[in-house]
Amino acid sequence: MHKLRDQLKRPETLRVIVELEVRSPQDKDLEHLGDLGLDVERVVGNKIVGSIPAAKLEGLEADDSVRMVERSEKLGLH
Amino acid sequence: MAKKKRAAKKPVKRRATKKAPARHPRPRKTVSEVSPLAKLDPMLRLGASRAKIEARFQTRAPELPAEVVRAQTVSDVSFGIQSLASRMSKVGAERLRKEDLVSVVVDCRAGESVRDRVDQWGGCGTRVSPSTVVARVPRTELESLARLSAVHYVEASTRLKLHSDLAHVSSGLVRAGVRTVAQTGAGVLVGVVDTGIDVSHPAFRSGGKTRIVNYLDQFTDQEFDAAKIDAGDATGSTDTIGHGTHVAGIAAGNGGGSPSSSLRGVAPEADLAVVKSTLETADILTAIAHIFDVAKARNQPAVVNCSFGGHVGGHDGSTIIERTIDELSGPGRIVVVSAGNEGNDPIHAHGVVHGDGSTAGRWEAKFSLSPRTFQGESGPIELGILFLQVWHQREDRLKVRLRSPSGSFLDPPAEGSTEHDFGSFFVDASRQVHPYSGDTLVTFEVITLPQSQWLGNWVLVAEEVSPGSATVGAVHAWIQDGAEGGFTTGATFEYLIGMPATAYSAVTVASYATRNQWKSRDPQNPSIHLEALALEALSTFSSPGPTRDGDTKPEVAAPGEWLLAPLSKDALASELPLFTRVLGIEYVSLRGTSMSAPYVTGSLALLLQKDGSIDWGEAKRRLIKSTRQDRHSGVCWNPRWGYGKLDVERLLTIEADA
Repeated sequence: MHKLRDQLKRPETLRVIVELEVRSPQDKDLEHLGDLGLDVERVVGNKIVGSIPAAKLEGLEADDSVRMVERSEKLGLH
Repeated sequence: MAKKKRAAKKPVKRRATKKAPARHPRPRKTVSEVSPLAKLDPMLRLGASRAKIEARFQTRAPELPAEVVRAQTVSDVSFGIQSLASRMSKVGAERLRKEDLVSVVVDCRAGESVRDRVDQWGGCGTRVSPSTVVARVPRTELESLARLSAVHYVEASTRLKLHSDLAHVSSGLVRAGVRTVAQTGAGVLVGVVDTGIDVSHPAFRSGGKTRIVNYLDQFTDQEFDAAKIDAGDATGSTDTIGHGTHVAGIAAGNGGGSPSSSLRGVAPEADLAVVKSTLETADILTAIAHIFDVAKARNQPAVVNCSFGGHVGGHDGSTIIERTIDELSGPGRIVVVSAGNEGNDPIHAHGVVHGDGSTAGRWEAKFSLSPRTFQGESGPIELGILFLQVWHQREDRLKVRLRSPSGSFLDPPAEGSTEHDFGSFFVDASRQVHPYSGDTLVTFEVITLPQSQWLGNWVLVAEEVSPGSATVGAVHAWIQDGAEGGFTTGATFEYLIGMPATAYSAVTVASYATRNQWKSRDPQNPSIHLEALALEALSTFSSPGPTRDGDTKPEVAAPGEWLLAPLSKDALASELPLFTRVLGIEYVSLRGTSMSAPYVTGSLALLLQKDGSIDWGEAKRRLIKSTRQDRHSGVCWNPRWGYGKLDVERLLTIEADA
């Protein structure tokens, strides 16, 4: 048990930005992401904005079709 | 040229009553017995003198430049008046040259008689108070008017110059109250990804209609076009922070709501597309793409402003959002990003791990955490939490780890993540090779109890795996946010430009000061005067570069401290306190690279109006080539100023590179 960390609320769903290996994803590529648990919100080139259950994040990262996954970070106003 | 000696006169006391106190608190000296020219406003003395010349030669002297009077031909015009005349606007001088009737304000007694004399000369006058007559007087009679014993002084009716924001003067956009460039941003789309916009503010309206062609609210997923905004449908998407309204106003406000529209933005006729954003990177990426989609549908060039950032990623433009900005940018598509306000924050440490070949090189940087309150499973909880990202080249075989306050070492695994739980503190350490840059990233998430013995004395250690195992050995570490904590040793105060400002294509903007006083609504501080703030000097908060991969960012510095721009009517007092709010008008004074970035955004809108096919590379080339340097900026490029100060006038005169 990690007492300190477990005291903090952790999100069950993570918003992520996914970069695919293919340059122009087709419907089948997006369907595949859906199978991995990603709820696709928007496609910009080969970058996909979506959300995924935290428990399925590792599976998404490990998939061969995925080049890179970044968590959506809240940025600060300047 | 001898000046006429003015006779010393005894002050004449004006009669004052309790009901109508004298207008002038000080007794006025009479000048009735000196040259009548002394009673004429210097601007009018020029006109009277010109009338004399013309009367002498029975002709106009059109060849005589109106704004410069040659001393050798006009005996009674002093050098001072020439100097003053030379500062007249060309329009005003031309009017003076062409028109026989000159508008004046006459300070006098017996105003009725003065008005009658003006009428007799063929002019016209109105007595507006017992001692003031406004009149249009034949130029040839100006001196006669001044000779009247009832007249104290004749003042030129002057068209007052706009109180342009000081930033415009500094940037070369306005000189002597007049814009130096013809472009207004017309036909260009200025995109603003921010906290929303006050759609009702007059600065974003023209001819009774909104100038906002598209407004997307990412919180509600509602989208409004201009017709919906004018119909009042967007009033629910307020800007309660006030940041976005201010930013949009700097870039493209038209000055509506300010006296004589004097506080207009840089591109006052540009169209606006605004996204009220959650400021999450996923939504920011979507917002930028959305604005460029709007621009494409409208067949307009566009420049998008991003006045936000953060310290995640490699600070080398390799994050997904930054590379997406690169991909979305192109001809007529430019993104401007603020450099950041972390110039004074000890959130970056840098060292070179290099041994002598016989011993392993080693580098250390100490840091501490700040206690903060978080939402826990069972209510608020106070902890220290800090995210630390450490980057080095993959070819350098380095051991990167933490030493805790208790002296234990916390290592990441060769690949993946490991959790270290010591009860009083918890560390999640991970190591990965970045898929894009190929560099090694070691991340530590540190959580501690809020007691001082656990918050301080943390040490980041980087050392060669074996002697000579590092070729370059450069290590960079960033704490994600200054509120989490800071480096107590090893802080560089460089490499502080945040993400997405390190995007390769983005125009990255630093800030300098152009204003240090204004009238505020705060009754406790009605006249704000920040005497310690040196005008034209760099804003101390402005984040310096370069990027981790050596890109020379920021590119340019622009006015960002303190700028007067529209105030959202929905802005909360907690966000924009009274002292920032300008007295009497719906404008607010703010500072930050958030303010300098839209200044450049507006400037690039002007450039895109000139040539809508310009891409970010050409825009940067012209920006860099047109910057100015001074004693504040020193030699440029440098990490804080970039290539120097924005010069809008020069920016718009530089042509395409042959």
